[in-house]
Amino acid sequence: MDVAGLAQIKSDSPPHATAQALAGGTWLMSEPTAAKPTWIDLAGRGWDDVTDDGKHLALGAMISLSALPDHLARWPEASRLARAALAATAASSKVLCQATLGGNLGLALPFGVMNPLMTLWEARIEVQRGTGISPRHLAATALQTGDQTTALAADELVRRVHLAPDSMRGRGAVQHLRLNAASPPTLSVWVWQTDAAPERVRVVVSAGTPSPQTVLARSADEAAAGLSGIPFLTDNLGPAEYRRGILPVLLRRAWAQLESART
Amino acid sequence: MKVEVDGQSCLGKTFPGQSLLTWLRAAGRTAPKLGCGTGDCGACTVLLEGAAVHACLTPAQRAADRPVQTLAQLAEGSAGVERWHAAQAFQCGYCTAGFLTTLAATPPGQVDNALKGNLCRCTGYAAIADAIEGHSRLADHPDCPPDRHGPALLAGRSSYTADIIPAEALHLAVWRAPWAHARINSIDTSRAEAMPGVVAIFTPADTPDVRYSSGCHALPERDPPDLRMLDGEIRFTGQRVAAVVAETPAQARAALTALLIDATPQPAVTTLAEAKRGEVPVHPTAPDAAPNVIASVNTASAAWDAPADAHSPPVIETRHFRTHRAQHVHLEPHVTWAVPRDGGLDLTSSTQVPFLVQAKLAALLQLPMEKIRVRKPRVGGGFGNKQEMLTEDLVAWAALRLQRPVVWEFTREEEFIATTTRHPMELTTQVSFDEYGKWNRLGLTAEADTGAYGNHASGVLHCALFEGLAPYRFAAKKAVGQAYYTLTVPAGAYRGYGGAQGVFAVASTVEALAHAAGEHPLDFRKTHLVRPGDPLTIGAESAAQHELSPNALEMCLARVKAWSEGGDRVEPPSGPEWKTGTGFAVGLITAGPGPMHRSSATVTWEESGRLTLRSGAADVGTGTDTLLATIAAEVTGLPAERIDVITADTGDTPYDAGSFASATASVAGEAVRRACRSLIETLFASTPPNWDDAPRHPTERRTARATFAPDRTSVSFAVQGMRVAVDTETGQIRVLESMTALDAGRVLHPVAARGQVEGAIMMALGWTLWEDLQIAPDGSVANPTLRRYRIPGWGDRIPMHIEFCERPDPLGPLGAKAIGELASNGVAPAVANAVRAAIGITARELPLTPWRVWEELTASA
Ligand SMILES: Cc1cc2nc3c(=O)[nH]c(=O)nc-3n(C[C@H](O)[C@H](O)[C@H](O)COP(=O)(O)OP(=O)(O)OC[C@H]3O[C@@H](n4cnc5c(N)ncnc54)[C@H](O)[C@@H]3O)c2cc1C
Ligand code: FES
Ligand code: FES
Repeated sequence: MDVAGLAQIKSDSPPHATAQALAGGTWLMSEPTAAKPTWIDLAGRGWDDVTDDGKHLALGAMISLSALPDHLARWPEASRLARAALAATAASSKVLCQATLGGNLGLALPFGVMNPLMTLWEARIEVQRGTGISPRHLAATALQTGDQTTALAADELVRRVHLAPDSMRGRGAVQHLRLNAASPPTLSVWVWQTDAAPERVRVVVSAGTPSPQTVLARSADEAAAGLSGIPFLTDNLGPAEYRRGILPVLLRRAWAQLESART
Repeated sequence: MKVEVDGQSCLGKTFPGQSLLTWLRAAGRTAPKLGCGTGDCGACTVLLEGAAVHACLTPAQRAADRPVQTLAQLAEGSAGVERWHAAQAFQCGYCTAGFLTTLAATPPGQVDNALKGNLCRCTGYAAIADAIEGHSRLADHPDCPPDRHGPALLAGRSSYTADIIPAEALHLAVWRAPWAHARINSIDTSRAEAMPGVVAIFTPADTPDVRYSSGCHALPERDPPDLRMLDGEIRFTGQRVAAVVAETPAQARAALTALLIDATPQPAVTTLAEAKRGEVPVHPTAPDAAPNVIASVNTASAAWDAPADAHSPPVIETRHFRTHRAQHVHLEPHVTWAVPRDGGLDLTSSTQVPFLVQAKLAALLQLPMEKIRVRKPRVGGGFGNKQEMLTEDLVAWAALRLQRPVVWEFTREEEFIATTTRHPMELTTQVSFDEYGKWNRLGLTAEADTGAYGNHASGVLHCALFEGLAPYRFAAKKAVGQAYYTLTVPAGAYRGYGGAQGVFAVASTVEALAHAAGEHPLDFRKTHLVRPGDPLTIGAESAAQHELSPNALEMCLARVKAWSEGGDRVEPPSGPEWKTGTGFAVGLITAGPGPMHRSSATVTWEESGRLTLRSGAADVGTGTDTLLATIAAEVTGLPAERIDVITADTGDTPYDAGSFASATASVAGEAVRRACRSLIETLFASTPPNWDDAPRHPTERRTARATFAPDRTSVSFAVQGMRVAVDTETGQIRVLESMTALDAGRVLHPVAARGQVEGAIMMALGWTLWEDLQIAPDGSVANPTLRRYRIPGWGDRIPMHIEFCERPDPLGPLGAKAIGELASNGVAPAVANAVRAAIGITARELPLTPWRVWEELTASA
């Protein structure tokens, strides 16, 4: 939709605290946001760079969501999980081709898929600060702090995501509960078991919670116990009580799916 | 900015934040449509450098110097377009450009993900799936003419109201109340008036102090005159307060933010329970009515009131049900534009009721009828929500005052917060049994929440009671109902018109009784359903204008029973947690609108050797222009290609009450049939007519006119079965398949009829399972976007078995009955009854969300 009250969209000046970063534009153009009269267009700045030194992979913030599975091709299980994650979003393939990794992380929707995935893979987030200041890094687990809130300061943006082989080699599964075929999930449970430390599985719960909730566990029951105190949302996708009630079911199913992936 | 659109260089100004969609449309490239503006419906899809994008989500400036393709170019020689035509994969067609453009850039195998972002409200996706699979519905029915608007539509060239707005039109936008209940103290317009492009601002003080109803019926007095064009008394969040007219839409919207409005909030009444307490009156109501009651029914048959036998008092069972608000979500939002002319107006509007709008405007603006011309171009769906005057009044007023063309286009959010909804209802059934345990009495109580205004309140309440009770043949019946005002978004006409609510309660009750009796639910119903010759009663009242003529109900019951005994055709999801069940429902609707509805038609044999048919009937995307031509073709013996159809223009076509109550086939169709017969009698001494030898009379003697106003209509039945699987651990429901057998009279256009039924089933399934327009505690609509109000999408389609059990109707034109709404009413109870059969819980409240089912499961465990 046309965005009211916008004074300019700049392509040539660096991002700054009083301007809104425009990445794919899929959310900014569709949901009214707190008005900042200037948008800084991140397209065309080379932020869609991908560096692969044969071990570590660094993905630029402006790569499209739909491109992610291909970038992960050398870790087939991770690539498969990313593909499954995208297929389960409410977004059309048109949106996924336009929306970006950085935009999805920075937007921090409760049902967003990139924060749980990156938490699952223990990614490190490279944060770009104001001009001339060196970037800082933070763990993906620390990025999303709540429903559409992050640990980023007003002048900070996600610049890259760094993925390490030890975390990426493994296998995973995801279980979603959705109202209908194209609705965002009411609850998602993600599990990931690395080859490096297979005895403990990383579990992430998202969609029904304000931000991804994570725990390491040896079994679905242990995960359920570890997640027993987490906060749940009540919204048009379901009440908190329901989400709490079906968490053990989805944990058990995710575990079974993981088992069958292993065999 | 320069963009290469469909191979041509296009120049136009843009502004920061403008989407590619509005830029293209302002440049006259109207193939992509505005459905939501938020990336949820896909109607705006274009190709940008060969990739499909939602034009509404794409900043216009990113398209500078890049190639954009729309359906207008992609349609040329497209195999997809051919298949869409062959499957007749459209009704209103508003979604069509988006689907075809998306698929043009989608590799096979990725269709499911690609179509996640494309919504269609009319077809139920079944014809679209046929098109994608290359199945031709026209080949299945070689005698069925294709929709006559198809070629333009599939070429990206059809003209909806917003596609033909005069370039010089001013744009209207409205400041909507953020309070559920308030009194406006003052409106300071000075800052807004000084803003660029602002031409005028209207406040309540500038508009007529006349009350009317937005609801449009052939009998206008049915609805209370309780609405003002702009009102200082606020009765729902979203109500119009002030209007700005400016040179561009952006300028109009910007000026709204500069209005300074001071108001005193009042206590709110946002629920039925609060309204019933009557402490806060929403409107003054009739002196003898309880506060906030706008319509009521109370009728019991003599047998119901007969004193009970003291020795064996009746065993009475009551059951309570609750239904919820839903939004129509026709993909084309409301839009109207008006051009002043000779002291009057030419008004173009996306409406179901051009003639009723004309009459309402004439009364409101105190103009003679002939000074107001209302025409309806192609309409992108209505489902009852365009049986209201929601835009035309203010546009007409502004255009007359300013003596300049004015347009008003609703946003999707305005559709949700400020048009109308289905009436939420609380329903109670009462059944009792004789001393032998035989069911012998049926009562239904309905309490409807009509929101802030009473449009359609009385009609919908009556329909809920009538369609719930009339199918059953008890001497002892009782109907009680009230419609209450609350301070919430108004309810109005919605496909089914109350029937869905009444049938949900009664059909759920009947199924429970059948299970208790240990009988197949359809056999049990057969014993208790009305038979030809029975009166159609709801208490002491019987519906004299509706007649139970010979019908195909028994055949329908047999077909659905046979289907239910045919075993699993669709595998349920695997796992012991999934349980399956089959449920049933029988719905009745009146096969036409009743005596107040009138339609006229003229037919002219042209010197060119073609027939021109004029009817006031409004094709709102249901294919009725094609149907009227089919009727004319059958009566005259002319091929449909030699018949030109002109409809829905008060300046050029004869009167028709409008497209609602599934009236077009039965009333307008009969008027066309009569006009054709009369023309044949005028021109030819003998039949069959030889048109190529028609006498060369002057035009008036080559024209015949007929009017039809039915004094009686039949009723039609739909028997429905649903098979579901329920996940007993999460409460999720999967509908595996549906079976619908329809007592449809004679089916005149099987392809269009099937499309109507498929669309009605999917729309009803949305209401049953997912769609829920929620009201926040402050009275506002809590989920006013397609992202939060989930209508069925491509991935939700289900296998639908549909059978038309044909038995020509003695009262309908050429034996036809109305079918547009027939299949909607039984879906919710059939699903609820299937859930009950699967897991033993009784669903009393809609929608049947997983959490509601899970709560019942948890409670019963
Ligand atoms: C119909 C629809 C359905 C959707 N369903 C889902 C879903 O089910 N699951 C899901 O995960 N997502 C879903 N989305 C969200 C979609 O993935 C987001 O729109 C997208 O991730 C935002 O990305 P963008 O690049 O378009 O961001 P933009 O719209 O450009 O920006 C979004 C926000 O992110 C900020 N931002 C942009 N870049 C950065 C950066 N590098 N660092 C920090 N902040 C930044 C912006 O300033 C803005 O606040 C849906 C979107 C639509 C339109
Ligand atoms: S108008 Fe763009 S997706 Fe609906
Ligand atoms: S035909 Fe698809 S929305 Fe009407």
